[in-house]
Amino acid sequence: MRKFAVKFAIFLFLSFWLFTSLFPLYFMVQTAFTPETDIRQIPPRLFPSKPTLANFENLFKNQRIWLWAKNSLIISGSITAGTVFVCSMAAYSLSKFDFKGRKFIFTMIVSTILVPAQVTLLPTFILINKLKLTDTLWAVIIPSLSSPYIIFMMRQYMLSISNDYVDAARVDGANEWTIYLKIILPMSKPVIATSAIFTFISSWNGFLWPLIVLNDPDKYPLTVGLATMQRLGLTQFGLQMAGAMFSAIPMIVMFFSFQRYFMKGLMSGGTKG
Amino acid sequence: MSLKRRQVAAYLFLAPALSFFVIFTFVPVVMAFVIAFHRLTLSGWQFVGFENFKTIFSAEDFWIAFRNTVLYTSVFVVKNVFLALTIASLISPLSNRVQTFFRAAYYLPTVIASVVFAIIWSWMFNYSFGPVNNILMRLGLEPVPWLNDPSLALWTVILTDVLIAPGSGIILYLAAINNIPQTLYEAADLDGATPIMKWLKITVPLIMPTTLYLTVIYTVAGLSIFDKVFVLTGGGPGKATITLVYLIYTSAFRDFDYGRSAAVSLIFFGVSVIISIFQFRAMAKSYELEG
Repeated sequence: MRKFAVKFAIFLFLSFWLFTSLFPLYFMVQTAFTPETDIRQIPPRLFPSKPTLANFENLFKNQRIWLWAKNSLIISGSITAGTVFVCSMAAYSLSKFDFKGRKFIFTMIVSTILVPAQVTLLPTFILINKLKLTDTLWAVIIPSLSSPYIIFMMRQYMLSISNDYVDAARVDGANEWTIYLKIILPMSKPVIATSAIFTFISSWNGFLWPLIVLNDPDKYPLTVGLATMQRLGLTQFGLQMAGAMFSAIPMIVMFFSFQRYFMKGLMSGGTKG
Repeated sequence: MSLKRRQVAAYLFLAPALSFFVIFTFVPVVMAFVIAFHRLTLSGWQFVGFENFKTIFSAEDFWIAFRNTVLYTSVFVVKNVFLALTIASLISPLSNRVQTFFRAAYYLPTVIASVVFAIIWSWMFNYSFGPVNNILMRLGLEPVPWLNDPSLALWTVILTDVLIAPGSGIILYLAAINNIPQTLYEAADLDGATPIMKWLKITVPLIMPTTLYLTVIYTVAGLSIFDKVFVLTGGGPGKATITLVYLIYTSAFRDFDYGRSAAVSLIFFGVSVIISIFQFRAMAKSYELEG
């Protein structure tokens, strides 16, 4: 009997936190499907009384939402592709070559983890301005093309690839570029998948940097667009929730499709908090 | 291929990543140090020594932001580490399938933008129409000015964070707990140890490295709070919920006081580096203890 009580208490505790963590998402969906006129009803209901797609129709009538989605896609896609490419090359160099300064360079790269992005915010903005990139998607993409976390994670993985493969190819006369493309990259698929997913999600969710370098609302990614929409249309809650849902769904789908890569990535050193 | 050519290849593979680090990390850090001691005037940059820092320390803004950031970060770190440890410990004895379910469910909110969450919370805590006040009013209570009362707003921001379980922390702790050799627990069973004692004497000490790692990660994440404040309160009412990063943002991009913004960012940098180094040293020590 006591055992049962303890089990029940544990179950309650776990469910409580599950409930509080997921409830906001549930309520977002609830509001998104409720007609704007019913949203302020007292008391709020758990299920919309008359489920409607009106909020989404409203949302999609705004041409900008599609532009924002497109921008988010371009930004996250480019950052992901670029990061995987740049970081895997660096990791290959740091794991399979012996050269002067290797340890120093590696330490230097990893130590940039200690520099919060907020410290370099203003100087990077000035640089981007000097390069005449302000208000372009390039301004969001270029500064994010390499990450110390990803290099670290990829290097760890590549160290575990036996040197025999590389040496054999070198003996056969393959050049380093071919080795990288034909041996290292295919053998690093799991770590590339993990890095790509984490990079895609963190750039999709990025907010502060695009907020600073983009002025033209047509150039905004979804996060910045939705935040400005929230500030302008302060009382259209159904519309806001439909927008929030529109931005969250791709990430939820990605999460469920690539769950095992997430868990692996987190446990191999983790990326974000 | 000759050794020399291989060396050249190694540098070439590194070149793109290195140039990005130099241009977008090292140069900006140096620039931040330079800008912090200058003021941008109509005739260009002017060296002003510690003037920017003096202005910052004598203004109320900085101390409000500092207090808010420290308060938020303390709650954020303690709650995340403690809750992750508790939840992971409770899940770990369960069957594999149940574990997988909980891992996924708790981790799900982590992949969603903090901006999206903030937009949802700002609706739920809306003073006139939000469901939270609606329910309170229906229960015959007064509506609570969650985000409109200067003395309450920061606590509301903290509350919206406390309610979300720390997904990555739970997963890292689960991995660490599942790695503890079962033989240790079996030996303790022979000595007649209770579950609580086993947890305190075996589990908690052995996952210390994870605890320290998470403390570092969560501290840095907590100190950087911005998105949530921007959407939920815009730093207000008044200056009630400004944070250090919010101050970096507004001084540079609203007040165009670059020198002051850079100076605040250096203070922010200093605080986070000191904390990280302190914690890394503690981490190194605990590794040594383990042998």
